[in-house]
Amino acid sequence: MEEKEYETLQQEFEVLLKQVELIDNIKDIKKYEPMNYPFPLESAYLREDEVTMSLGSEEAFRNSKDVEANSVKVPKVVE
Amino acid sequence: MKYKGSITELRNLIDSGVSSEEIFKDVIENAYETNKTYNEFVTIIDKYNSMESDSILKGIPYSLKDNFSTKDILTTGSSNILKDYVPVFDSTVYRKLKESGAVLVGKTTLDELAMGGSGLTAHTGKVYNPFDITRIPGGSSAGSAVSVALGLVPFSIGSDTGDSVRKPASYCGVVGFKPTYGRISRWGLFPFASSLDHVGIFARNVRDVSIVTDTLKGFDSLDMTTLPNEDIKYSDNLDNDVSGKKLFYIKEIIESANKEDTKETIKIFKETIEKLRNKGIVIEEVGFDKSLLEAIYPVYFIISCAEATSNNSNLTGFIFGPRESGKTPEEVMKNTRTKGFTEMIKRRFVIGSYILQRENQEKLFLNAKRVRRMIVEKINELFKEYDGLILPASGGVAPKITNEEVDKLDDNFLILENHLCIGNFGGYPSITLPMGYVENMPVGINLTCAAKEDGVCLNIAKFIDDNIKEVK
Amino acid sequence: MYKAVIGLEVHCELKTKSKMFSPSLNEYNPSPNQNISVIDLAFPGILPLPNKEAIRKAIKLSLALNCEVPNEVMFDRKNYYYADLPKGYQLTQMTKPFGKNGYLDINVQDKIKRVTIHQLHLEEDSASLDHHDGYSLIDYNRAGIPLVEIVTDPVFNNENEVIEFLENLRSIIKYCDISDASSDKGELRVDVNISMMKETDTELGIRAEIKNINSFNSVKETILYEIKRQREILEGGGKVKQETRRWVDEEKVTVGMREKIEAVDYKYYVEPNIPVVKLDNEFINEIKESIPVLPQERLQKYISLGVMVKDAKTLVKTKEVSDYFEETLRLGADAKEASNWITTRILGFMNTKNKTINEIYTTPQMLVSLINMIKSSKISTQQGKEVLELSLTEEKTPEEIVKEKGMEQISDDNVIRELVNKVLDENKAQVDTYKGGKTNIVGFFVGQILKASGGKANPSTTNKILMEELEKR
Repeated sequence: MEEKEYETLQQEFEVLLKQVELIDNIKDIKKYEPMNYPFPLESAYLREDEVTMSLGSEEAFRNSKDVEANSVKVPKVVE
Repeated sequence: MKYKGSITELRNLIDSGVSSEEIFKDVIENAYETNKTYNEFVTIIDKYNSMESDSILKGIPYSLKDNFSTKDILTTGSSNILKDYVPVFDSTVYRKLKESGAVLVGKTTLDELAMGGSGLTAHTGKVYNPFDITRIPGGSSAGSAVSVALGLVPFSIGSDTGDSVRKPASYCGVVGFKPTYGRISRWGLFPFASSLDHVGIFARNVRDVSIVTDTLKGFDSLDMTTLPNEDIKYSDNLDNDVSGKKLFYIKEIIESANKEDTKETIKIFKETIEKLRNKGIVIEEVGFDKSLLEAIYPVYFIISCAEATSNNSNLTGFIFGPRESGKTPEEVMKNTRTKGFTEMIKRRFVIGSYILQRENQEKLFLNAKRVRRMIVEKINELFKEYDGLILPASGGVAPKITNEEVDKLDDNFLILENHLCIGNFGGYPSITLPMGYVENMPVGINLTCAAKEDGVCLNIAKFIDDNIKEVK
Repeated sequence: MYKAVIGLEVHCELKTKSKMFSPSLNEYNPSPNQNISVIDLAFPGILPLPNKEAIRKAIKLSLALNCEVPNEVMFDRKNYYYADLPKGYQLTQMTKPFGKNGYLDINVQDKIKRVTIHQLHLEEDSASLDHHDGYSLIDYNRAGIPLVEIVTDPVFNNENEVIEFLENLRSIIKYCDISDASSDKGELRVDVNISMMKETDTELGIRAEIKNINSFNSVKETILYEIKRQREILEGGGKVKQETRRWVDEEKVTVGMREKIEAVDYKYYVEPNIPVVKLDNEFINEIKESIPVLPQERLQKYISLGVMVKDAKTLVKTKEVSDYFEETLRLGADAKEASNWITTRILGFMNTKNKTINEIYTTPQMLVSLINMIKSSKISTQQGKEVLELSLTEEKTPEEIVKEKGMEQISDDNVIRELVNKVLDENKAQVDTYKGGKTNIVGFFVGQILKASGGKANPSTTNKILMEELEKR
């Protein structure tokens, strides 16, 4: 990001932190569990262990900019 | 335009012998024209394609927001980082519409990665409001709202994370509905904030919105969060008796009106509820903790930024998307993302990343999620007594396009402007309908009902729509 | 003065038909990118679809390791960028891992040592990278394979304890049919945390983490090397760096990969696309009931039945062999007896022919009938060995072989008495010698009688009757 972009970011952070104060001031907030989903879904169930999906590597990588030997090619990964 | 109308009207035309291909050609021809002015499409489809089916949607043209995965059709999310991405799989929404025989005419422009509310931040440029091209259409589903408002298509599919269907619907004078979370599968919808993302529908009336919802709803084994199937058609239950239904509006939100056009909006809102009361709907004013109302936007902002940051981490340029050079994969990723996202998006990700940091999670992320629960529990409590929450969909008409940077986080706690997020917090069915005009610009009214009560929501909405139209 | 403190993180790929969060094939495939789907590649719009069987297996292992199991399924995102991570985050468990506070008792130098398990969680594997000159190729076959990670407390002090634990863990994993746990295919990988402290220290020393070790032998070598390396640094007055290291098998050394200034922040948070799924008692109980009697318990049982410790350990090494042995016990075989036959003859045969115990012809039933034939003196022990060998190679029942080869011993007193008298009649001179006091000539008679019987005369009966008849002369 450029210098000017950081300025805007800085402004946003200030606004954000001010807004967070609003949240902090809410009474009894700690009595509540964080909400991860809009509502509990009692009907949810787990997938049975079956193979129903596959994808050929040619189709899989047709959007990739660098492919070699049926694989996505990237600069050497340093371990 | 030769063929313009609702789903039912076009259905009648087709059934009386007009070929749907002819309608398609008419739409496309006009779409190329309107796109020059309004920029509502990223892609206009050249080839007519309609699968055999006995659905009411067979042969009906529609448009689809460009963040729904469509196999072999460019899908960009209106971002440079996906500007040449051609998916290899279909979203469930697209598959179902395809199977119903509906005819896709175009992929519509959105705010970059759906992260915005103006319609001005797409990689292909700004989208303009059909009522006044100096004004924004609202976003993020800008192109979808515009394509329906222009009469090109009877319906369009959008997505709604905070108000991205229901706000542009208000600004563009169309109906926008977001069913219950999980009612429609999100498989293939580019995620913004998964716990808030909904599929939404634009149309010109409640009946059309219901018909499309009937087609799209249902359990999907590809989306674990989808609800089980139910054995009713919403479109068959739109005219059920609603007398005695109880709605509420929130006093503090209505009283927060301060601008001129806001006051005008409130005036129309009050007139509307008066009419509805006269027609037998009970509407009451309810007080709500103001500190919670003021927290709506910060809570939305924190949760959505955090989730968006993680959700978009797959945009690295390795498997798809443009790729910048670099000496290591990390450099490639960094350069690709720096170049691929606009400044606003990058700021969202920086903030999202900050929110997710271990030392900030408790104060920012978890507290926001706690307030989300507080708000939802309060609203759920009210839904035990009331059938729905009724409010103006926005604080006023579509704002003018200015040189100001758009979608910047600002300090104005406009609770009247941001209350639609409540619908996303609780996954509630929520619908915006045209309510009237201020300065010749449309304003909308919003109805939100308890989770899973989509049928009730559409039923009451139909009644409201009928009565607003009647007095106009 | 310094003692080593070692903790382990063991990663084990689960044996399932499909991957952890996608219904694509979970199978080892040496050619790249054959078992992939849109989910594994993290195309925009995909959603995770957790695999019930993988969850069942993770919980099974968790229960087998005496862990506390949560009452619901929850996954978390671990956010970090790496070339082998298509989504930019890994789905794992942080909030509610499938196992907590477990233990496994191991036997080190005849003492029981309790290895406490800090946590066991289920996650998805990353893609694998194939390094070339100047570039790397990404293979997504491995991306999304279910992976269980077992984290022990730092409770080990030497390589023997570690290896004993790993051997035990591996056999439990195999007993529960959770994974083949093959090192060759990278199905079992170990991270070793190791630090040194003085006996008098109250706090742990600075630790090095050696990642991704593929074989138990390398784990052993790594630990020995690290202990030596760290001890030398400390005794030289230096300080061990907190860092991640890697074992280079070709050179038998560990080398530094990256220094850990501070722990990486993985920005964990609950995956919103996987709703909470309750784990009801029925599901958990079903899993509990599917856990077989585990090797440690079997080992103790075998030893108490008189099997030698070394043999008992051999027997429990794989569930199949142990089950085979158990079946012979059920059919009434003497434990020691059956153990001898299995650990020497049968396992020997399996090794040379490269077969598993389920692939050999001779069933526990056959082995037991062979043992019974020896016990009832129908055949001799020596013959028994031959019969078993033939049963294994020619794939015939012991009865068939004994019959074919006419091996049945003669135990009938009258028949043997006849043979004895015949031999004594034919060798009058030797009988006189015997009578003259040279009793060691008995052996000669026995030999002659056995020869005359074609080797089938029961030796002890023969001996008895021979003495009786000699007395009469």
